[in-house]
Amino acid sequence: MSHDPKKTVTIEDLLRIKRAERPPAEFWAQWERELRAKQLAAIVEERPWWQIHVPVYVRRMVKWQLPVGAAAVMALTFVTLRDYQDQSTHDPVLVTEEAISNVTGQQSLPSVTPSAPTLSAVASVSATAVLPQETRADTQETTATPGLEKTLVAIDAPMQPVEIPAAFIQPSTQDVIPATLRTEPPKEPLTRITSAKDVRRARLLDGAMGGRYGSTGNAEVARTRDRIASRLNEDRFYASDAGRLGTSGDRLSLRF
Amino acid sequence: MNIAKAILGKTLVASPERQHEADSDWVVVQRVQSGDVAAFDGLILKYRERLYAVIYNMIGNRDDAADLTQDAFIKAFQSIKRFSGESAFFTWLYRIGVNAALGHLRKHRLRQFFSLDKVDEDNQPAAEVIAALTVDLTADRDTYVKELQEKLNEALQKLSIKHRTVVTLFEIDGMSHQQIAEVMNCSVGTVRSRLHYAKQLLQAELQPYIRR
Repeated sequence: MSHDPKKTVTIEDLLRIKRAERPPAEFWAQWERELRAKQLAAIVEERPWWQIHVPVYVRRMVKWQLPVGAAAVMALTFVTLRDYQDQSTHDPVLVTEEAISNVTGQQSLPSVTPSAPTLSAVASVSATAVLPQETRADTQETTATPGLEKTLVAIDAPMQPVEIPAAFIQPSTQDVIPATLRTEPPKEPLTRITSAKDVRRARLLDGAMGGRYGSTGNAEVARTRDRIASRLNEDRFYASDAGRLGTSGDRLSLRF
Repeated sequence: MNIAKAILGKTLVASPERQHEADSDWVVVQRVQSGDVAAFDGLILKYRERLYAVIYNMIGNRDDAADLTQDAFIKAFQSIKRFSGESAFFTWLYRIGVNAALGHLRKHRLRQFFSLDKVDEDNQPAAEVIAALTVDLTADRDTYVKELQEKLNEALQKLSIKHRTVVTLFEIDGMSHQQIAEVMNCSVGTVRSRLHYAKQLLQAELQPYIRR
């Protein structure tokens, strides 16, 4: 291409000047020395763990980190909002109605049945207590479910026939349970100890009535004294002075 | 070797020259992959100036361009076992270099220093353009060329990174649209569009130096 002074100069021609910008020859010698040093450094340098263990396709996903992250945040928000709305729509009334419908419906049977075998087991056990061995086996077949049979056998094995009055055997199992299995609640050891307040009251009463702790020998007097003592508040008792009480024969007099 | 190469028997490149170049590169790459590490030096000597020119014209700083070129070769060497020949080696190498330059530009967007190489007066096309521009010049020719260099660099830096990359690869390195599309991972139409837009901007910026 011959360029005379009249020739046009285009943008492509100007960019050819950029193409002609080149480093001097000594630049490449220096560049090569630096490259060797970098190569050695790269060999010695330990590669980061993610370059070794993280697969290449996962690392390529890095450039999609923004859209992937945004999608994850949106999905999380959607799930959270959906769950929140589900919880807010379940108000107590609906829950109750649902519970009621479950209890009355067919599907509620499995949840109710666990208590039923227990009652029937007790009933059958109580029934077998008075029945002979042959009839007991029949009763188990009719009342116990197959799963419960083992339990009944386990309960029945050590049990010996006990003489129970026929009045205790009720047709309803719910009536049988309290009669056979009712026991008194255990008393606390501390409740068995007489409190100091009661002892003091008894001593005062006894002193006022001339006996020692009710050892007067007259049962009626002792009963009356206990009744009065139970009605008297301790405060009133102290305030009114025990000396106002008096006994004569089978009478108790109070002075106000 | 990938499926495309197995079917066509060669790497998909634009021109026959590039095809021959790609085939010879693939042989060297296979030697490097089989353990002949010294064979990689041939690839460095072959492509270092072209890759440096691309990076240099993208970022406008010779020292940074030298560093980035070295980094690109080291990275290519470290990853050469993963190179399966789907594209030509120089396309793959350019992609590494261009990505390094793009990363550098994004990282140092607010802090840019320019240091330019001298124009090679022995380069015939460039010498002819300079002669056409300085025929009526009474002032110092070297000063005028230096000023022209700075103006060209300014105009290039005013382009966006993508437009600058397309102009650099097409006008300075002489790559085809197809090859640029492979390097930049975009369509040929996008390359043409960006090139057209970039030239329009450059023409507006360098209007005083354009003679019709």
